[in-house]
Amino acid sequence: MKITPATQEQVVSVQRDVRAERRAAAESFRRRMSAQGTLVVRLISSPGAGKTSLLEKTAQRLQGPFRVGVLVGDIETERDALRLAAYAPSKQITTGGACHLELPLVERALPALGDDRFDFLFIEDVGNLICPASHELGEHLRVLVLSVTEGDDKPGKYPKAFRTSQVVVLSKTDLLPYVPFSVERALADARQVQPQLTFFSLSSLREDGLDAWCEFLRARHAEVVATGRCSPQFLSG
Amino acid sequence: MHEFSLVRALLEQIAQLASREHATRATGVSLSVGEFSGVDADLLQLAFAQSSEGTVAQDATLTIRRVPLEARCPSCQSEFPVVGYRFQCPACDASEVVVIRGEELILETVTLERTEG
Repeated sequence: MKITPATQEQVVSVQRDVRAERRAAAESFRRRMSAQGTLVVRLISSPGAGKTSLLEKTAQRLQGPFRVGVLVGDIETERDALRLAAYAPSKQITTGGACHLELPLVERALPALGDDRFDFLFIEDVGNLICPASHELGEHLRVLVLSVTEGDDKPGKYPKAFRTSQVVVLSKTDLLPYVPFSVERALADARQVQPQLTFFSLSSLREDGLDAWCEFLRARHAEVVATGRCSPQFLSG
Repeated sequence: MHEFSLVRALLEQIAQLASREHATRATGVSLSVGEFSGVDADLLQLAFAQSSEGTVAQDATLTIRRVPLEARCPSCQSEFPVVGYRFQCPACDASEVVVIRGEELILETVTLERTEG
């Protein structure tokens, strides 16, 4: 006689955020960085918006009086880290096809920079305005770099990326005379999605507008050193 | 396609739960997915079908409840659906509104099967 084992079904109520663990890990990384006086700034953008050029000029200005470290994410190649190494300890994170960085990748890469007690740790994410918006890396500031050649309709097309950023840097402004880009329209659309956004317009190539941007970063760093927090608070998402 | 990475986190939670409850497999999983969670429900289904292979949730049916994006205005207390990603109060025009639902990705229930004997 064949005995069929009885099966019992049970519906278990979980009610838990799938990203809860990742958020907790990101919060703990942010706290560790705050405690050692490191401001973590993450840059997100479309490919080719000028993140690396902006970081070159920013690191050049901050390095010296401040300790700067850079992690750069890309699907392939070490090119960005090689460019940045001229200005600050830099490490490339190649994701091998993945569309965004995740915190374990960042934590694994960090020891390659040596002593990580930086004043500024910049993390350049993979060029992509979709996936990075849904993942936290434990940054204090999420900065969206929008180049004028991309078009002024991006805030409406990628609302999640704009909603979860605290800062928008409008880049390549030296090209404004040549492209149909309305700064007003882009700003108004972005503010509709996230009214608390702070804006900077700059040209890394012409070195225009970099002083205000670096001043803002220094003020946020001073705030983290003094209070362990950075305003505006990171907007989860 | 970050849905694959999120499904990995989801499958870990299901495996932990199954082990805690001494279950042999999961036959059903229900999720609520906010309209503004940054997650595409169809891609999530696809990622789940592919990634669950060889796990306790291999044959589980994934049910997704979509949650519309809604906010509350701290000034006038009205609650409203956010249309066209305009995070602005339609009643009093205040722009500092608080999202109350629509950004979540919640594992609601898991149906577990236990074999006895």
